[in-house]
Amino acid sequence: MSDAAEGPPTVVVAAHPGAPPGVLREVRAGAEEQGVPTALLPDAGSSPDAAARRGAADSRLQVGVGIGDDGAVVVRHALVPDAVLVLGPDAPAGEQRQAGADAARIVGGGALRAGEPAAGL
Amino acid sequence: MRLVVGVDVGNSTTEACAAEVDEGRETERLAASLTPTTGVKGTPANAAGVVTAVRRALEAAGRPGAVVDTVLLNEATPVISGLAMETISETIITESTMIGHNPETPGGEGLGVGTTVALDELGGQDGPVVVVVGAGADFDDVAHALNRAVERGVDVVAAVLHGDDAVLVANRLDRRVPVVDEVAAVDRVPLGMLAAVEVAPPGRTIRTLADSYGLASTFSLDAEQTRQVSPVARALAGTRSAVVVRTPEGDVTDRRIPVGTLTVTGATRSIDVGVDEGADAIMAAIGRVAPLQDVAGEPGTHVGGMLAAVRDTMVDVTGQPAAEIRIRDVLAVDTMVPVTVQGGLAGEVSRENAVALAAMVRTSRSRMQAVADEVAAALGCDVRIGGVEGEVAVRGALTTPGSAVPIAVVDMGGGSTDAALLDRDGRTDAVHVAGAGELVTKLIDSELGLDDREAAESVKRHPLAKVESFFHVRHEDGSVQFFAEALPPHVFGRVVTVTPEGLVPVPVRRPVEAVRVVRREAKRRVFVVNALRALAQVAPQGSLRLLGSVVLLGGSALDFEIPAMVADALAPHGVVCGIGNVHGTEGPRNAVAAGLVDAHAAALVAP
Repeated sequence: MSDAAEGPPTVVVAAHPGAPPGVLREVRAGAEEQGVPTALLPDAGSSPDAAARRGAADSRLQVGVGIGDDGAVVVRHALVPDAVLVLGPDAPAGEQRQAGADAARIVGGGALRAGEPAAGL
Repeated sequence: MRLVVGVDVGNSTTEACAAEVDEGRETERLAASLTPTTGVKGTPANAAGVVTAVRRALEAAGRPGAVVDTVLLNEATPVISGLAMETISETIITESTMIGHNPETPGGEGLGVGTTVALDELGGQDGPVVVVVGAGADFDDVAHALNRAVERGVDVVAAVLHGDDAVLVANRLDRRVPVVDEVAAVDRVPLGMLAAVEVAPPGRTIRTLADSYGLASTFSLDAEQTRQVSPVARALAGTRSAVVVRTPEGDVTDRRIPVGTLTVTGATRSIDVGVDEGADAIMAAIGRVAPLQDVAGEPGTHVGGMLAAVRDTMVDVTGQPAAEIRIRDVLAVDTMVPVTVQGGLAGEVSRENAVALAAMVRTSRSRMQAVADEVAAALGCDVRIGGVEGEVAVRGALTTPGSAVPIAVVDMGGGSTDAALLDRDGRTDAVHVAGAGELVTKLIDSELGLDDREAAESVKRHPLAKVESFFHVRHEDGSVQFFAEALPPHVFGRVVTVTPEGLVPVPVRRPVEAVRVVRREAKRRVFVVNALRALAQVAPQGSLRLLGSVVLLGGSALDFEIPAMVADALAPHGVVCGIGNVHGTEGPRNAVAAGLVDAHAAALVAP
């Protein structure tokens, strides 16, 4: 069981053990800037989509982010069949930050900004 | 039995009504059709649309390719309308005095007043400092540098950032201070100047910097200086965060922009009125010269250009000399448009005053005979022109169950709003006034800052909702609708229009309530104002109370809220107002087309 089951409700980030630390940092920073805490779920090395699915299932906020070993990012909601957001391995840092922010916006019911220019980045 | 098709060429749509008529027997209406009008109404280019409308009506009647005995056309006269909008006020910030915007996520809370210092210049300053952080700085590095500076004894009281990092930085500070972020032109913040940074708690707006005496207390201003900075306070009202820098010549000014004059000419005199005086002044000038004979705009201005374009289009359409073309009506509407503030550092947007103008020119020189000739050649049948629009429309409207003479109709179209009255003596009177659906679309587009005509049109035509989760929306009336399948991410969290094709996102960051107010106000200021204005012109002695009943016709009568808004406005005058239902079955459409068929059938019975 991850730390998502304890403490405040969180967006659960499930990162591959080999996930680039920079990607993980940007994703978590994006959620934090929106005021939503994240928790880290150790991932056994599945695909980013499967990791996101696990994260969403584990999150009391029903939102999970999966990060692959190549830096690909997937955002999922536990009740939504399709991925909400998918980023390729070479996405710029700004888009990775935006993905984390969008995961937080799902929690707050805010409009997603994926695809819009990132402010100040 | 003769197969006849009545066709009404309107500004936006061409409507047809196919029927079988026989001497002495009741007319059997078979089907109706609707197609976009081709070309300007009342010009030879209409023929293609007329042929399409006739063929579609026959197809709808299950008789494609049937031999038509007669096509009946209305005596359509060209109506050209134009629109222009002038922004008549502007806000200018000089010397980068002020940053007043609403970043989504400012950091910290409270008010910090100190001298502006660049991050890499931090260290050894006496007195409180406001740290200015440029582009590309990492949030961890910034927080670390600020914490180290505080440890060294620097009194860091606030920070201003380029990136969207305010919460991240504030969360890592040992001493909690207000942090404003997303300041795109942070490199233009003057350094070494006294500045104040204020961030309000979530859900609140700033209090000190948005208040003249708050600014006076913050910057130790005297009475005269306080008077000078009061525009700054006004400009910051309603924001959650702000930065004010005190510079020697810094200022925020509201300025009226001269945008030219209109010359309105009546039967006996002309009056010049400045467009920047606003809609009320323009409409008052038009009222003083009534009846209006012509309107001219100052050359070189938007309004002058629009009026000239309307005139030129009519010259092209009718072949009449320009000197004979008169602008017969103008509707001016005050509006507010979001405009990027000149000199702003964070893309600040200010709501500025603007005036929208609709103008209309009408001619009696119809070229419907040319249309008739083309249609006759295309369909191989007799084509007759008959019936002045207003008369035919009012007779068609009279077939609405429950209506009675005297009866007035209001047809709210795209470019103009038309009214006609049939009185007890059988006389009809008709008027066309400028301003209708296109002006409403333009007002919605500009007031919401959409810059997207299609989105504005969607806002005009459909109710709004907010997508509150992947599985439910809250409609503008507060009701909730659940969806069994997840809604797509591109509508999540957004204000949407509820269209027959599904939910369409509206590109705004304003709440549903605000968008709704803009939509309804635009409709009220154009359709309600124009319905009353046009009806007053045809009403006996100009009194709406003498109208009896008013039937709403045309596409806008199918709008989900316009008929009720017009009916509400007419209710105090004791007028029965409702949506037309031609022959009890056709709704508000087809009044003219069906009216042409009825008139033709009546002529056959009593030749």
